[in-house]
Amino acid sequence: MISWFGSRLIQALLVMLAMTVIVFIGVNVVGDPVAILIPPDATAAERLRVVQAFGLDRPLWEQYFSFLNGVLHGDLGRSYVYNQPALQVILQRLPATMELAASAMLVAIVIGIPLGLYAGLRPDSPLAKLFMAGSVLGFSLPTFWVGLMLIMIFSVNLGWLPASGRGETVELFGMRWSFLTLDGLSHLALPALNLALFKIALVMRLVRAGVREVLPQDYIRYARARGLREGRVIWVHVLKNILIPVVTIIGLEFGSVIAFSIVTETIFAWPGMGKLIIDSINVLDRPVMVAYLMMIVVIFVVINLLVDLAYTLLDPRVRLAARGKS
Amino acid sequence: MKRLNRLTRLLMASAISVAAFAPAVSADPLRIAIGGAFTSMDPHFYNATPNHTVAMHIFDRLIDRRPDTSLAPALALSWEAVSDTEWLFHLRDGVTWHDGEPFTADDVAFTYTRARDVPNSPGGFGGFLREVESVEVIDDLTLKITTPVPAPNLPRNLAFVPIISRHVGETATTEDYNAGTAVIGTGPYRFVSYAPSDRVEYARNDDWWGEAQPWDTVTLRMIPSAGARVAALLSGDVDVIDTPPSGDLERLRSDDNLAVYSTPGMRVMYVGLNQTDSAPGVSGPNGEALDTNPLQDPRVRRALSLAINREGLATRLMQGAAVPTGQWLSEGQFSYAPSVEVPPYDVAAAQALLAEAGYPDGFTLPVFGPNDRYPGDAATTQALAQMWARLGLRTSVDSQPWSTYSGITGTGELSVGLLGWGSPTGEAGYLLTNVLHTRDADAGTGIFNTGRYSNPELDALVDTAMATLDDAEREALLIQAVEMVDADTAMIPLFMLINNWATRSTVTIDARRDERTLAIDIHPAQ
Repeated sequence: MISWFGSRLIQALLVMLAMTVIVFIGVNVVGDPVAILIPPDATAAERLRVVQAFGLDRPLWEQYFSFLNGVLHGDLGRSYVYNQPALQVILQRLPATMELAASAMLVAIVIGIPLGLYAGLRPDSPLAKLFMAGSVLGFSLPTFWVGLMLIMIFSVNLGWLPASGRGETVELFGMRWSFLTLDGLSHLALPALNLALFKIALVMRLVRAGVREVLPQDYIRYARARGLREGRVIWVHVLKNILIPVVTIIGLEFGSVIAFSIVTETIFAWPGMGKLIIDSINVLDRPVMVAYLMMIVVIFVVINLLVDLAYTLLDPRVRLAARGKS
Repeated sequence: MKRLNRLTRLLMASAISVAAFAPAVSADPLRIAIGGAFTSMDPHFYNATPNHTVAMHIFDRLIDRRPDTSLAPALALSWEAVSDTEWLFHLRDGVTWHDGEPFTADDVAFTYTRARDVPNSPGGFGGFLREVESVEVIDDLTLKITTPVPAPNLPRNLAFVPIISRHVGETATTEDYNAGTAVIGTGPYRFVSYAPSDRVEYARNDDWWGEAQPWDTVTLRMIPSAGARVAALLSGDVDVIDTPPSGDLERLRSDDNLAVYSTPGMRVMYVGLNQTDSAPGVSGPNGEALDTNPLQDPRVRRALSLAINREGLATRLMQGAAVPTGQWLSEGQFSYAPSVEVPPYDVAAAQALLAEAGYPDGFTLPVFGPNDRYPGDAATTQALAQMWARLGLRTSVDSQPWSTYSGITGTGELSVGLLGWGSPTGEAGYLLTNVLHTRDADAGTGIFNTGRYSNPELDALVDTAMATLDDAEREALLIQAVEMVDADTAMIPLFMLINNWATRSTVTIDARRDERTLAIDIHPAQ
């Protein structure tokens, strides 16, 4: 187990090193941040000063190695437009994105799994057909349109929920969270629902397909023949066996919600990381772009590690294979 | 007991009389949403409109700009040029900082040193202070500024620089401003809180020297998505939004609960023409190389200008969010030239001019433009290419994101490009010096002269004008220069962008030419 973990860690570090090269070079060949940031009437001397302050007068490889050196010391560079360490700029916005992503995934799981189970167990009932038809909408309606519709209905016409922004926050573990206040929750509801719609449909369909596949299998029939209660058959024998693909997808989706909830964050003016990356790309704030992409790599690596760990808990075969290797 | 009673009564009576004489003060909070991204609470860190907007609520300037860009006294009550290069500023008495300390001339001297030297700043305030060679404190309320050369625009430039205090500012870093500890100004509102990428909150400063403000608290929110901004206004989350999408203006106007306010802005959209000996991509009708660059011929430039249907661009493509122009200021502004008319849309005349210049069969012309910088920029670039195609030119369109387009505007590689230029000084000289003056890095002229236009006659006229301190005399010279630019078609002005705001009908706003959304311009509706 430990050596398995160790080899995963080394893999992760190599992936991240490769990413620094790709990201750093990719970001540095696009445009000229100085031309965007300085006023158009800046003189050559004023311009040169900015170029030197940003270190852009040095060759690319030198910039890269001083960046790597910084990374080893926990310094991912300094934002051009916020004049703060890039990592700090991102971490300030992390809680907002995390709570949005977590609530969206929670909604997706709490709604998606029961609906999927129902649709799988009673595939011919009218309700199950309704769920499945609904899931097609969940897949196919574009997020930005659904977001605007939610705002039009619940904020503009009904006036129940605020149209945008983040509500009142309280401090917990040194970060500001809004899900602990009523005002915060009311601001969170619409964007979380908007992000969740697609995931609900996804989880529901996955669970339904899994159930349909598992139900006719022998061990389910034997379980029933043994006279087990239907509840136990469903929750232990069916659900546990279909969870592996569901956990994989939830993990991947959670990562992409954190990294790419840009559309929802933009529509709901949610001050999270998605909005930050768009703002940063527009003004070519390179340190923030690089730090953001690095951070996303870390998040994906960690999530995949957690997903693998979850497999070992869910599936004895994975557990045994890991032990066999060590 | 009796004495106490009398005292209480006296206090109550005075409280009532104070209340009776105080101006009608509304207890309502004001909520504003703007589209631009503000990045710091440090007033001198980054010269961008949203950052100015945030700072102007808290910090005063020496001189203020009214919504129409004319100047007004602020921390300086009056100013005069005592010689060609020396200015005296007489400061307002009795002004205090938000922490109670008195404001003095020394704070201004400190500000002008600090503003041009903020660590890691992407540049910005140095440009406004280029003309400030030295600042001398004569006494607490008098200041002498020496300029290296005669600088008639000094007051206009100083209207951009927020004044901070020496006692707080000397040790403060950008971090201290973002944390809120150093945000001590003299302005109409005090700092309350700052949430990056989200909002800034203010509370009224009752000790402000200006008119009493109607709002107890002001919240300035950042909502970059135009649709979300409109939704926030419709749902009553905010009272005022800036730049509503032009497609929504009709709907917003027709709603009884809402109102739209507009003014022509400061930004002109124009076409920059490459006038070097070989403009990249400009070639003969079949792509063959040409001996001379056709854009060097004023008749060709004029023909290109006459072939543009500006009225169509403004009313159809921009949906009324622009006013056609033949120059770069609006009527009523300093040095606007009434004699320069909007060039007519006349394809026949344009074709005749082209033939006269020796290009009856046209030539090949690549048209460049940004696609995420100005309202309708990509569509305008396409429309220009189509209009010139009608003239008989072989055009192609190349729209790019600003992050790459801004890179080629400075290199001289841009043949024909859609560009925008704001005149924050509210006079013609700023564009003339930076965009049309012969490029000279040492003298700091022609810095944004993307086409390398060079006209010694115009240079001389601009130089004279910009060294003339007498306002009337300078205005006459500048108007003459504007006329010269038009006669030579040095650039092709298209239209002035209009600034729009939408509000709930409970408030009104004085629309500003300089795009800023300030609580002091917003009033409760009568």
